[in-house]
Amino acid sequence: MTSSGKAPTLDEFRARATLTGLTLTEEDIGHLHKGYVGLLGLMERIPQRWAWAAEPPLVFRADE
Amino acid sequence: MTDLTTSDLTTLGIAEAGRRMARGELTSTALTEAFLARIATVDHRIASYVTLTADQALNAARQADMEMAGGLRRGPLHGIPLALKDIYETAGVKTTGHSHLKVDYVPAIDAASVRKLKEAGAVMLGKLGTHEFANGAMTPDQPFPPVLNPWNPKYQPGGSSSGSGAAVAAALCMGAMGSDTGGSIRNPAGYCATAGIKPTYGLVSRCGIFPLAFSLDTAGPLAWTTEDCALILGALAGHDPNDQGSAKTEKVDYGAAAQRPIKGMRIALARSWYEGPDGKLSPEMAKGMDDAVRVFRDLGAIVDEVTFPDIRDYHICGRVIITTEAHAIHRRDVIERPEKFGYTTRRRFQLGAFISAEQYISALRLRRKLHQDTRSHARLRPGDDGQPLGRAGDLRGAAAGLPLPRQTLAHHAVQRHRPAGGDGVLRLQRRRPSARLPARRPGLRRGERLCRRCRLRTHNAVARATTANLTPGRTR
Repeated sequence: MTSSGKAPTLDEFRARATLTGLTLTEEDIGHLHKGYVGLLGLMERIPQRWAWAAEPPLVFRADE
Repeated sequence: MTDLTTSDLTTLGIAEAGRRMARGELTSTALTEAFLARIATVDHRIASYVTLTADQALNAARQADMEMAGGLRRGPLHGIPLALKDIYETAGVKTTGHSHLKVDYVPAIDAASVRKLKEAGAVMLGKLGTHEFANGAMTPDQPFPPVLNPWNPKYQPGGSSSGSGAAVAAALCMGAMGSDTGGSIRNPAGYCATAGIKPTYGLVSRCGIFPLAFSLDTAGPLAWTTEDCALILGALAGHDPNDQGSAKTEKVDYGAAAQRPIKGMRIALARSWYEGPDGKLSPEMAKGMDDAVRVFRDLGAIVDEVTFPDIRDYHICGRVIITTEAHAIHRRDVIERPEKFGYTTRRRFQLGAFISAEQYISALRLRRKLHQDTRSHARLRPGDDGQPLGRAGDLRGAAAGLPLPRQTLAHHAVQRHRPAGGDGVLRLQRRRPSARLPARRPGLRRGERLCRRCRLRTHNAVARATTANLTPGRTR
């Protein structure tokens, strides 16, 4: 899992939501929290440590 | 000029229609009128079109007829009626993205791919329904009714190129343009039992197409056969300096490539990808895959089982990348006019605000790793020296159906025919060329369910359709 992968509580998520600039109702926050926690669970499959050379490809095309 | 009925005309393949027009046995006007008549008769039952451009289509058809009568033949798409997913910008014609946000948007110029199709002589019938901005889902809070599956209107047609799949399957156009970021060509092609090709990233210009995720978006065709898709792809492929992801590739005659035999072609069979970790597969799906493999082998292809990385890794990699990039693209509207989005689309675009830069970069790194691992696995087979599968520009056989401008055999990975509602999109594969083939059309002819006619009668027809769909050079 990535380093920021610890699942936030609903209160922590609500605090974070205020920083996003989004206009969210309490219902929105509940749904998004559920979706985010689910996504974090899936992201546990993403390795946390990478070799320095494992740079992300910016372009990856048919002529690569 | 022609003794074909309207029904016959609307179920012609592109190649056959082109041959008839070249021989003077058929006019584009007659063909276009047949499709417009059929749209008027049946489209209200599936709502595949959101905008019909009948006058422009008839004008274009008459022009095509005049050109052909004068000896000018632009190519295999000359005079062929096609339709566009409503995220392709079209000069003077509404391009809504199936969203309230763009419901009155009329672009001034055509998307690059639309321009190419028009230059090839294609006739544009109209704009087709889509999931909002090629994402989300069909929800009641959108400006147009949801597209329904023509085989059974109680079922969904898949998405996001929903209208494209439904219109092709219902014989409401000869081919349609879709787009694919996370399966949006492959899904509706599978759900609606049509062919569809998601080209390699960069092969077809996306300039003038509403973006969803810059680093994964591709544009490609859906049609009734792979040969028809290849003919459309041939008109589209090519470098576009206005698309930063556009590739400089050699010109390939995909239509001709689709006719070549597949004898000797190595095809990777990614069994773990379509069987899943528990190895469970419905008997119908198992038989469909077995039949496909048998046909491949009967045609002389070498089918090797290959174990690629876990499909869940591709899935999550794609989820993170799409969620983040889609938020970046739509952030301003999600903040300022969230009520304009459909419920599902809004939620998905909002979620990207919570993905950190580090999580996004990790997903990009994982994508790179999966790309390398996939290529590595694809080159190997037991006792093999690592000879790559496929060849550059290979599109041999409707069976393979896979445009191969690259030289790995991951391209040939046989993908599962997904059940409706299933998941498991081959996420990394989205940057690779990929094709959706109707391995089994269960005894039905195109548009049959919708109009209750032309029923194929016997079990043999199933076998014939299966074989035909997997046989190079098939004709209808």
